[in-house]
Amino acid sequence: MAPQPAEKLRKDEEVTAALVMVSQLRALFLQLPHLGTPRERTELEEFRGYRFARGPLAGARVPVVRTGFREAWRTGDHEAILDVGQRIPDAILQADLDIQTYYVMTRLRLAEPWADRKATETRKR
Amino acid sequence: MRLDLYAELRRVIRALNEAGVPYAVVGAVAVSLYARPRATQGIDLLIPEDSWESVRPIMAGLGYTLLAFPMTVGAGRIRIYRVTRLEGADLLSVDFLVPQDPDLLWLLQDRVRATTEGIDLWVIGLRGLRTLKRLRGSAQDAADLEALGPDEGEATDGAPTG
Repeated sequence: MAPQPAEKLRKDEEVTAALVMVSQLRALFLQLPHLGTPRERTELEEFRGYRFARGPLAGARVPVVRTGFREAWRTGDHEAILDVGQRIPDAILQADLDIQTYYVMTRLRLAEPWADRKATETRKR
Repeated sequence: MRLDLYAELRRVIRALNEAGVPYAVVGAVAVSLYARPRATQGIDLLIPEDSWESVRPIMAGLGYTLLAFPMTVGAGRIRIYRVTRLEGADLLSVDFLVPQDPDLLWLLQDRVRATTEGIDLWVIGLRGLRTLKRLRGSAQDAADLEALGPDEGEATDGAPTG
């Protein structure tokens, strides 16, 4: 069945109920086990390659780093985020908000001071 | 421990209201107020460029960390500044969307006011919401446009038709 046009915002009494539901859906989403898609599994395999590689990751790809960081955050593998985050090109870190978020928040969680660009400049090359 | 999106939204909009920052809720939360509620990881707010400098300390005061590098989407027409709150292993991001194109400045004028628990909540108008969804054009945006339903007679971009 085709959706009906959303002509107007919900009435005030319905707004709170809708917002509470959004919040509950988010909590549920975060609790559910994540079953990776075939594409994600391929990207995670490539990400594992980054972990074993030595030196700068000049050829790292944004979707692979994003998927790898997301999984590493989910499993608490902070070492993977720090290790790869220090070796990817700045352009990748700066091009994707999710990648930046996982990297910065990992450093914050491990109580490493983050000083914007200065911290980026001191990353391992 | 998990962050409660609704509680965080209330904290943020209360602070923005008190500071007189013109904002509009956009993204999944706005879609959920026009169509069926859906899950989302974070909160998206539209603000004008000249409000960003006053928003930064407000969000810092609420315990959010600013990412160093903003991102642009929609061929550079929207810049996104992200702030994130960390609680245990839970991350909750608030993305501030800032129009860079003068043709998009009407989006904020198109906002509508709702209230939740006595707090004013400014939400993007339906036409503006559709415009933003078309601008990004991701698979999720396409799904959201479908959830919002047909939009006969609306401008697809730029200045509103009235």
